[in-house]
Amino acid sequence: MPIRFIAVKRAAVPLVLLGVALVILWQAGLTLLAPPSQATFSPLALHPEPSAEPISPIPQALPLDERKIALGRRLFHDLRLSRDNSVACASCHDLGKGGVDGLQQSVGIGGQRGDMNAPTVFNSGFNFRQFWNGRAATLEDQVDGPVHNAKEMGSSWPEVIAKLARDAEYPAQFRAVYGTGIEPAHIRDAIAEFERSLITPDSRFDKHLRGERDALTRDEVRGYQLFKRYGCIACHQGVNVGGNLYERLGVMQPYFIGESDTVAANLGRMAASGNPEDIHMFKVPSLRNVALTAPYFHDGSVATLERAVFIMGQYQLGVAIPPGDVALIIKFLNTLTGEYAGAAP
Amino acid sequence: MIASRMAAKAAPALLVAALLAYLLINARSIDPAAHSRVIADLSRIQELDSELDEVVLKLRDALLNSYDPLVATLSRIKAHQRDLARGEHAIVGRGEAELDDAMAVVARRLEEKEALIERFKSRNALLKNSFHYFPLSVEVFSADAQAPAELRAALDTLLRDVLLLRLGATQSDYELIGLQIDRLRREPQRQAPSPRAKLENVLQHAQQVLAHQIELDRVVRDITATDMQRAANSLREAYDRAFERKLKQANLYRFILLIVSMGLLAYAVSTFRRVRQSEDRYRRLFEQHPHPMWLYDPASLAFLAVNESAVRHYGYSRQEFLSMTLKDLRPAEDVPALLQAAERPGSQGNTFRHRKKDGALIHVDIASRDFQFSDRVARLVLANDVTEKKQAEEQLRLAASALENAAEGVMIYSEQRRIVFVNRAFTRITGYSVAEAMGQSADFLRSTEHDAGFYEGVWSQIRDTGSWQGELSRRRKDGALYPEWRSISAVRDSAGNTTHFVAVFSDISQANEAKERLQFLAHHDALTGLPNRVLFKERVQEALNRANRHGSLVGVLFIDLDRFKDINDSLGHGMGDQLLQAVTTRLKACVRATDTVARLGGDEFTVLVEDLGESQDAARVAEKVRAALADAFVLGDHQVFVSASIGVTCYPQDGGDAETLLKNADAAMYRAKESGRDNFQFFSAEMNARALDRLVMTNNLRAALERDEFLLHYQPIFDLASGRLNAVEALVRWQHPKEGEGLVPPGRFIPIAEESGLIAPIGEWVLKTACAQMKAWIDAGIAPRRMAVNLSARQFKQKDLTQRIAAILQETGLAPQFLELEITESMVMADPAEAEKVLGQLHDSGIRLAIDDFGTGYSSLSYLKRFPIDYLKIDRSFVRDIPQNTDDIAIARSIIALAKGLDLRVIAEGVETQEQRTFLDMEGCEEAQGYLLGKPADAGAIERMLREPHAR
Repeated sequence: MPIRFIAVKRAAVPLVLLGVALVILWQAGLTLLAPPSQATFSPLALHPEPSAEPISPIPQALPLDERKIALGRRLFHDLRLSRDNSVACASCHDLGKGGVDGLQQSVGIGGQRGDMNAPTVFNSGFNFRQFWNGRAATLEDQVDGPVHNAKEMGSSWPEVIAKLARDAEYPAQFRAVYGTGIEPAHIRDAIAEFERSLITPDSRFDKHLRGERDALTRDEVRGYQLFKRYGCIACHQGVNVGGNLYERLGVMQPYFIGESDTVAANLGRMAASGNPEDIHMFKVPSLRNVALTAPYFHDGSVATLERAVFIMGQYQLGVAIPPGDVALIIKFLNTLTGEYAGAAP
Repeated sequence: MIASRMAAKAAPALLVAALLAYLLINARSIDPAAHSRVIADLSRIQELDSELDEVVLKLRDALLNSYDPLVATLSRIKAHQRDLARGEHAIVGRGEAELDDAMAVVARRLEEKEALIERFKSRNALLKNSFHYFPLSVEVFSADAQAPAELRAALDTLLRDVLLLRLGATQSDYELIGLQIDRLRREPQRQAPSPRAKLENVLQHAQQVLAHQIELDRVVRDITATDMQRAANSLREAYDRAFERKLKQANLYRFILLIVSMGLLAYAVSTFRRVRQSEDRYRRLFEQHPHPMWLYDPASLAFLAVNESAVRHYGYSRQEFLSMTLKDLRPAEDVPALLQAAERPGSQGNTFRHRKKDGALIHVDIASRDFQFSDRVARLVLANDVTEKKQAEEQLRLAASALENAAEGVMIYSEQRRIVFVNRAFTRITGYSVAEAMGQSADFLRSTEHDAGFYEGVWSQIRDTGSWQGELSRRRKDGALYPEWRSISAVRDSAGNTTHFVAVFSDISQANEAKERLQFLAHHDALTGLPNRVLFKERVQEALNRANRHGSLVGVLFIDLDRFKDINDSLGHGMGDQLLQAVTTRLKACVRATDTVARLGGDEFTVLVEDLGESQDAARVAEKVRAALADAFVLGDHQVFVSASIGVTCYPQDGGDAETLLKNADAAMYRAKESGRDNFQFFSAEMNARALDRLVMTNNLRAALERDEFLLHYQPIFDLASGRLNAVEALVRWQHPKEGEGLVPPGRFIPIAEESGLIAPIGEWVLKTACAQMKAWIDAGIAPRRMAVNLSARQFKQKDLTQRIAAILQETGLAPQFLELEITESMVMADPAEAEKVLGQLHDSGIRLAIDDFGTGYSSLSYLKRFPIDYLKIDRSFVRDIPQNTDDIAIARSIIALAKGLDLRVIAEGVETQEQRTFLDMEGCEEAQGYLLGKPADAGAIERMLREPHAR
């Protein structure tokens, strides 16, 4: 048997050159007529039918990529996204607890307490921007935040990818879905796609909107009327009952005074934009599933829905809503709890 | 060297690759699909922009009632813009400055538009509600029976004017409404409380409508005026021009690319031929290598090639080798290890066992390296037979191990009688470590017991006969002498020359048990077996060291039996001794095993108790001892009752060392005797020390006043409804002159100042300084409404308090209405009649009065009503646990209700969370202070707060 081991590398050189030359000839001779690549689906592109009601129902299904969702679900529950393998997205956004952790402020790696209350991940695809101060334009951009935040996951993409690459299945899964190895953009994309799938359609209120008779009790309908009459609806409207504009916390009288006025977590959009006019401007949160997501407000400082509704009346509307009306409004808010149809992890 | 050669080789290849990439990219720069996509993006941006303006107008006119369509349209424009800027077919960043600029303009317009739209959404939402609430608030006001008719009419006019704004308004309309609001704003002071609040509500909503309507008009105008369309047109034109240029360029590059490719093809063919020639040379190098070499597949372990030397050395033929795997070469028991090692990549240099064809086992050193062979990884191995070397090493190791582990000490000297080896027993016996012994002279363990002649005799015998043995006296490392039995032999090489000497020795001294017994007797009492004074003191000292480490207390009990002499005299010494032994047993039962009971002599016992949490624990032990001795002792036929007097000392309060503790405990024991026996007494040096400490502090405080070491911090107090900084509370701090002491917190010096009466001058200084500061702020035009100063009880009792305060106000030039004095409930309740008089005078002069820490003291509500108080300050302890503690919520609520009933204003102290702040606000509490809102800070920091109203 003739052995040629020494020259193997050098024999490859002309072969590679030959290949390169052929590929170039092929490419240069062609004028590509590739079909335009498909744009990612955005739930925001849904145009609600013009209707009398300012709130529109959540669609029962969205056209999303199932393979990305499956991959995203695994990543969402993967502890390796954090430096010490102790925190996953799902740690603070528990799908079994309304997409939140129920804590005033979330706890990250090494038991560190963050500054903000974790917003629910359910229906986050309908929000016009992400984070309380809206500093991320998309769900994809949002993923970078917690992964790098020293108090949350405290990691970095190279670190995360090094860990995921050692997994038995990830490299093959990413190749199957994206055609390449594991890249930050693909992790973001898969997680975002999974998050877009986290919708809770068929709440009793949505059934009511779709014309189902008897979906709501008389008290609940009355609560909805009060919700509109008190003006809550001015901000909490649209498919997500909020989540599509910024508003200042403290319209009729200042909500933050003294030193609390300038605490970083309380600055709102100003922390992202640097514009003093944006002080205390927060993303109006979605009220979908609000009954499940106590405590409330950006800092989780309000424990109950009763207090939250009352404070909103006082500071945003300049009206002391009587306890009876608060109770009715809360009855309405409870009908916004929908159903997540996805499989448990 | 090698690196530079490789670089020289790689350079042309890299150059060609770069050229190819360059040509390829340029030739491909035109893509018809991309082109049509760009055109589509550009037109959609323009269409959608018009749609966007339409949606904004619809929202303003309430034709739409959700912002989703607005968000959706904007996000679609952004998607198209993003596609152009960063997408697969991006048109910017391709060296076309004109395009980049045009794109930047579009991006900027879009950003401006987005910012305007965010503004539009939040202002539109607010305006909607204001228009909703404003008429309601007017209705509520008009429905109030106390509302004056002329005001109702004025509000009706305002209502009509405001609602007309919706139908389009001019600047003068806004100004007219602004004037009306200003005029009405002056009204509330003249109204009764009920319509006053309602009128304020009306004006607040009117103000909102006005502000938001003006802004919204402007925002909508700006949105529709944004020049998106023109920016998109310019972009489109720039793109068309760039496209034209690119088309021409691309055709040129395509041609060049074709030429270069042909050249590459020719080069490839010629290289291929050269490679085949050079291969032959390397094969010979492998075949004729003197060491066995082979090549195998690390995955299957099959041999791929072997050289001549391998065939010769192992006895297998070439054909046999190629049908074998590496496993066949290794003894069966090594195969698992081999399989494991095969998984590890890279080169390794290790010794392995191999079996030749004739069955002989050999050891070989393996050097290997992985490389690419044809289409897979192969491992090249060079084997070096080290069987003989290995056997020799094995024997040496055995001998060395025997020497090392021998029970006798072993030393080996060189011919120059320097130590070259010692074993473990050597270290055990002599105390010298191997490192210390190495290289030493053979004489270094010599003691002075033998003279030089003796050693000379020994060595001459070794020279003559080759060995010596006998007993020697030696010196250990610690200096102790010990006898040893030693034999020394010379080691000769094959030529008969002495190369080394080997000495083997053992320690023949014996442990001296009798000596240890003596040691015990020296430290224990013969009668009871208890530790004596010497050992007890040692134990105490050790306990003190431990206590220092752990921060715990140590107690010493000095126990003297009462009237022991009487028992001795009446029943005889034998009975006395029996009693002491019985007492010993009972004492031991009173303490833990780790504590020590000792007998100092006669009827004196001591007890050492360790690890005390507080000095009271020592008292408990003393009490236990007394109880244990109280039962009758049965001595022969006699029943005897014994009591004890006990003195107790505690470390560290009562002494820093064993001697002092014992002495003081003895003294305390005498006090116990004096106070009637059968009891225990503490020896407390602490009382004296504390008194001394206080004296020093008082002196320092007095000096501090003279040296002006006090300073004031101010804590801001905010109006909850408006967020305005309404007042500051002056708080005294002491800047201690000693380095490192820093600011002494008031809790540490105020109690002493109160006891010594220094609180009065300090309080006066505080009042004067605070007033002067307030005056300065007033003069600077930045003052808050009030300066709150705490009054001490002693100040409050001064007969001439009102005159003193008046003098200070006069001196500093501060008007009295700016001063708020804070007093506690207990101060006024001490002498309510006098307090009523003093407070009345102060209040009449215009000074504001506040009850501090309200809720903690004893208050009589009827008196509270009689005192001219302006403010109640809710004590921080009731605020702290809101909202968790429902009791505190109820208390805070009732204090606020009480204040409302008495027409007092309420200030909450210690507000630390947002939740507490909103609770207090909604309960009707007017003002608050606390860490959430502002910590106490020096005048400079407060001044900055006053000068910078919040960015709103």
